[in-house]
Amino acid sequence: MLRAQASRLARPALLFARDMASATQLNLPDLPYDYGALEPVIIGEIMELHHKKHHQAYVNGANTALEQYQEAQHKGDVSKMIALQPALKFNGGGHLNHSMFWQMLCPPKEYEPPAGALEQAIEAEFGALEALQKQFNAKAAGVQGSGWCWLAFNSEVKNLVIATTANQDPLQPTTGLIPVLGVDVWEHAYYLQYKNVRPDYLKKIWEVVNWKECGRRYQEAIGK
Amino acid sequence: MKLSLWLAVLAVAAAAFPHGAAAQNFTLPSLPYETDAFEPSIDNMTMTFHWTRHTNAFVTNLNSQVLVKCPELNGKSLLELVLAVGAKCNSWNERRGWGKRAARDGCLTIPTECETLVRNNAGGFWNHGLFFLHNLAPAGTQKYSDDASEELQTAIWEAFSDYDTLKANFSAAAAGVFGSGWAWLVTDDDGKLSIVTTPNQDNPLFANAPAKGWPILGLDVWEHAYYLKYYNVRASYIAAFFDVINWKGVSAVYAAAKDGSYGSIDVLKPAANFED
Repeated sequence: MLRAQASRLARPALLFARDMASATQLNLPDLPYDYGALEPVIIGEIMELHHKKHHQAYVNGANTALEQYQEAQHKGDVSKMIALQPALKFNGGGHLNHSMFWQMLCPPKEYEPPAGALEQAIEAEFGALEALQKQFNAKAAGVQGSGWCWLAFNSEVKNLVIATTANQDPLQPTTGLIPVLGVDVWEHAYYLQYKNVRPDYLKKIWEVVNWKECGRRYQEAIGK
Repeated sequence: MKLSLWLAVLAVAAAAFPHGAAAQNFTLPSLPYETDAFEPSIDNMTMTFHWTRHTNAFVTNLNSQVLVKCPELNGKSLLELVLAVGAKCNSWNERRGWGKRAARDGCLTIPTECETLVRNNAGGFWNHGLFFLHNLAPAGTQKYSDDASEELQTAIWEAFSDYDTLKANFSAAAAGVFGSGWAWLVTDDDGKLSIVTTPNQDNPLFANAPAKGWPILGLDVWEHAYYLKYYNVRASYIAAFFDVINWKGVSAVYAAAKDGSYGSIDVLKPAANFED
């Protein structure tokens, strides 16, 4: 009899646990290199803060928002679900953006220029890598406040474009453009090293762009 | 100097400025205090860079871009430019004027090609003028209870019931700004206080501000305002800010707003309490 009682209690508990367990849990991904590996382009202090503090905060914020969202969903509280969307976009976007960013960078000694289909596309669209960098940096320097600058694939017109997003707005969900390369221009990404001189950071960052990863993303984008 | 040489200089100046008037350039004022006097709240390097690099960049852009691209804006005060951001001027506005508020009389249209430049640079210069010259005082020189005017303390009591609640609410608002922006304590025409936030260099004086008001106290929460000392911990910077507020300056701005003369405050001139 006790067993029957126990299993009667266990069932709703199990269902509850199953529901809660299915709540999305985001985790901070590891960097594919040491904090100091991008020096002298980006100092280790920045990489560590950027990863351990800033990215972690987006992960935590997104998990909190997702938990609250699921709770609201269970209750059918549409108003609350909508009210949570800015926090989801900001923190979830921050997590998506930074997860990509770490992969899009590599130590300077591993740098290789663009190759294959991506190289051809860059030449076709911009003429040369230097021209891309010039246009990209102009747009990136012009981002007012916090945001990102992207080299992206526009799958409708089938070409490469340069686009910017504000704050942590994730590129694909908000614009449909597919990210190939993203550069964080929030001040936390460069201030300790470059102070207010964002253009200097933009000049140097090209030395740590992981074009292999960007090429992989481009291949995937054109394959769709 | 020879008269002919003077005439040549004037001719060159006239040629450089097609409307006949020399550009009335903005200049970066001098700070009325030492930059190292704000520890431990704000470090010396941040105070220095924030004023001489970040704020100065607005001055440079106003002079080299706004006044050059849109020379008709020459001679307009910083406040006039800020009030004009997003203004839709039509003859109805001009006839009506803005009533009793001297700062709002008339309606200025900013040319389309200068809209964003004015928004970012006049907004930025104005914001930092208020912040540095009217809202900050060296550490240990002022206390809310002694230096905020009775009028301001009453208004705070009415809106927030006490200083600690003001501090808590303002801090929450400042912490909640996503990305770059400002938190403001603003007053309406009747002296009623509220807290608003704005993104980037926007402020509540803009004609198209979603939440309007006369700013009396602002806090910059762009990362450059705190990163060198506080890294990502914005909350610690916000808490420390309350130890270096120029309550006398804030009270003076509040008094002007309440009696209809907000326009008499020149944010580019240090608060009167620095004249002592």
